[in-house]
Amino acid sequence: MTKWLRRPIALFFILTLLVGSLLTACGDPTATTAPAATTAAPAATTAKAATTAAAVTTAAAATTAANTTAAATTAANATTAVATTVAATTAATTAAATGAAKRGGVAKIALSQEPGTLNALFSNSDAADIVSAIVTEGLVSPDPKGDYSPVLAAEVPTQQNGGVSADGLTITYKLKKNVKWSDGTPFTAKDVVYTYKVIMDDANGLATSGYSSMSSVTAQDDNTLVVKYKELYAGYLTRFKSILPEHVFAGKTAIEKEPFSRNPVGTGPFKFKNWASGDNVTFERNTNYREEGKPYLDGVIFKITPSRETAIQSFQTGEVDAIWNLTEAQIPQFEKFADAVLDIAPSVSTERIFLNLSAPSGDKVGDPSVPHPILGDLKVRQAIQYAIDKKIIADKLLYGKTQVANSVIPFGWASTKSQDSVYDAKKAAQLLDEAGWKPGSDGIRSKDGVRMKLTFGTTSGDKLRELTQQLIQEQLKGIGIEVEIKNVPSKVLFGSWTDNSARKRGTFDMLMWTTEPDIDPANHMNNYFNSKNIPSDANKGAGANYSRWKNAEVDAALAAADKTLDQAQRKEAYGTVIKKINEDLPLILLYNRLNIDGFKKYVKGHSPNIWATAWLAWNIQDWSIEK
Amino acid sequence: MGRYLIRQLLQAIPLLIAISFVVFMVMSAAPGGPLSVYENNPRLTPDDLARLQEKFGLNTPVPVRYVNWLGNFLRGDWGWSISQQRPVIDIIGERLGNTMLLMGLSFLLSLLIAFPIGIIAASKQYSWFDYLTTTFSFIGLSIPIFWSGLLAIIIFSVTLGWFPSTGTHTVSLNNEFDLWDRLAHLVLPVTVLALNSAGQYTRYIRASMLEVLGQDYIRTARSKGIKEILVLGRHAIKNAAIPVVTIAALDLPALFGGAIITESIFAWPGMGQLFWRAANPPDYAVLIDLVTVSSALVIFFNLVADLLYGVLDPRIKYK
Repeated sequence: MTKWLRRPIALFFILTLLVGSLLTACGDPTATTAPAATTAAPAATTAKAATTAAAVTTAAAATTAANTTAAATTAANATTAVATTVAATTAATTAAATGAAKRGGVAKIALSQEPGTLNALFSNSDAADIVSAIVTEGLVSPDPKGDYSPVLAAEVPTQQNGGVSADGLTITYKLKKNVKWSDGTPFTAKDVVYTYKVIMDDANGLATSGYSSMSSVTAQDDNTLVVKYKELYAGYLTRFKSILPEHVFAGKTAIEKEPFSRNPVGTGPFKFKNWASGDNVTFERNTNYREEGKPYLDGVIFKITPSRETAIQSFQTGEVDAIWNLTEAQIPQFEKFADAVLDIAPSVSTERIFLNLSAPSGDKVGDPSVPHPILGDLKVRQAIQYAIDKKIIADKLLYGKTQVANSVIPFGWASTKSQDSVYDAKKAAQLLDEAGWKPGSDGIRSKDGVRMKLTFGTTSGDKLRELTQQLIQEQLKGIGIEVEIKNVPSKVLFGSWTDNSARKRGTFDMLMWTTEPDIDPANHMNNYFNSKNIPSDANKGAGANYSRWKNAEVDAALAAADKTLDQAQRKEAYGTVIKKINEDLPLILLYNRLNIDGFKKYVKGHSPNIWATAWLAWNIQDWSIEK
Repeated sequence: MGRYLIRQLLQAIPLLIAISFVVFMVMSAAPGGPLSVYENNPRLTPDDLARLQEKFGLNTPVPVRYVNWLGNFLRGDWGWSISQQRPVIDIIGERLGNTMLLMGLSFLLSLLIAFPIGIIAASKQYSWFDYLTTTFSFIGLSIPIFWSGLLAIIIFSVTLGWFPSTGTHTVSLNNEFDLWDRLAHLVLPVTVLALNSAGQYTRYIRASMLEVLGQDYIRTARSKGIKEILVLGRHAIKNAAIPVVTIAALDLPALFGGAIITESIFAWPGMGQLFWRAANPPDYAVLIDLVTVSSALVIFFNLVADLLYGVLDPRIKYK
């Protein structure tokens, strides 16, 4: 080899190695957490915990309003200590809000993500949802109780008030009068029609479910919007969440790359001012806002921080006044700050263990017609449920701030509560005895030569989840089930069908992660529990019925829920599904994840709303700074 | 010299293409894929995803995508970031200035610290100053930045409140330019970075000075009665600088690439943070451009180092 070739070749190898190791490092989000903090290494990883947890959630919440629960309702429904804490905070803040709130001041909110766009329709992250929501509003939105309340609409259209036709196919929205865009132009029903056209324009690549079921969207007059559906669409109130101003685009509907995405105009309480990439997004009071005297603040600044740890530093130095989305592990640290207050609310996001009911290996892997050799037996699933002490997890690992989960729809109008499962190791062992699983010399049970050994996976590097796993491993060992922990990075766990991810292909025993329904649970419930959504070759791996649960009653109830617009009937149908889940146990619910935001005590008027797409900023027009 | 330069530059082309090809292939093989930001998003149906795949041209085979990307890259179209919904080149453009400011200042500061200290330590080998230098430079380079950075923040921002801990400036509604405020924001990250690399440079400079000071021509210079300061300044430094130049030149690509850890700790909106954010969740267009440009810069600065040898030591000739 000639001499002059050696050097480039050596360089090439070094660079490839470097790049390779860098990319692998990046491949695992937990590995790369290290820079965030070392002294607090565990804290740092746990911080990621929630992000990874959020990864599921995030993506979900990203676009849906999957986030939060009403403090107030939570307080009413829930019987845990959390509820009282939250209630106390809410009471305190609302008290401040009802008294004459001080005008002026700027609130600085730390966001550990940067929005990709301020065009709410194109939002693909929580950060974009929050930031765009203080400018852009929708027709109706969920209130803290999980009921719909009007925003740009004058009232929520229902059959009772004539907003929904008898056949449920025509929805008439009465819009608020005298609403103006932040540039002074009046808002009319034509803007909603325009928004519909944008969503349906293929060039934008937007999600069209619900909108594609519409046959026409017309402005009867400036304040009356008529939406006609081709077929019944049960989640009609979740549509038109963000309305764009027609006049800004001059009729153009392919708008993804328009300057509006970085300079939005809306009807919300604040008006866009400046966006310094990677650093901050600034808003000032919208003087055309429809509510007299509001917002109280002169402006809002979203400060982008690389991590929650950095956000907490800035909070301590007074560089920010509020932090969005803290993790459970950060509660103790935050409670030590004398000038801080936390809004904590158990959210709809429920940590759960999916049990694979189908063959985890072999020719018919993932096929529900071949039951899992161990988990296929209901008694075994019941034994696992009895053997896990969920209360300990909630009390010790989550500082007693959350509650044990007992329903896949824990809050909101569609929620049906169930009894918490009882922890009873004796009963669990008895069930396994009944099912014919006999303990061997090492205490692990077996039946017909099959050893009772299960793999248990979740996202790697997540402290909270790892501790939960260890606890469960111990508890299941106590009743004679051997558990092998097998964790993978979140990107692998949530991989696609073509990536051969375990949950899509059904090559697992138990997998743990967090997911949640939207305020309208139709998509989530169908996706996770309808037997037609079992990922398979036939549907190219679409669907999220990872437990591979087939239950005709559930399929029927889910279909019934989609066939009516009546909330009471739909709630009943989902109640049937929830009951069946608790009987048949395709999954084991552990606890509700928490929604945690931190504030300086001088920030008043905030309160949690777990349903709001805007997260903590959902009522930012009511915030004030009382220094 | 000219021929050497041209040959090196020509060699760099296939090297860069090979690197970008490997990077592209590795990234395409990673689980997830560019649309993974949309996974688990209940609002997007499989049909929606299929439409997005079509829209972003993800249905074509990887080699075809590579050729398309390379063509566009060379024409200055650096792609579209799916997560930031903007052209990648705009994103890089916004952050490059911040990174160059941070890295440039800390680079200069570290050399300003390292050169005099290293030279003095070498000329007074085994003195108390030398021992002090060796100890402190060793400490400086051993302490990881994520630790010293956090320590600096806890002491100087949180406890004493002297300097701000995050960002390039204090954000306000009107965002007026305030030079003092900008400088105050630079103090901690620049110092932390500079002390770390100064430790490293000091050791190199000291070691290579010691070697040079033992050479015959230094003894000759001294015996001619030349003042010690001239011996050091005129005869020794130039020769001692050669190994340091190699090290420093290889550090220069960081002017573009930034410092991932430092930028993350101090919330500095620069290239390092951009890389970190682009990695999770993956923003393929941004990642691949950053990696390619960084590789190109490593090769480029290597060449610069080669050429500098010739300037420092006329005996080195390139053909």
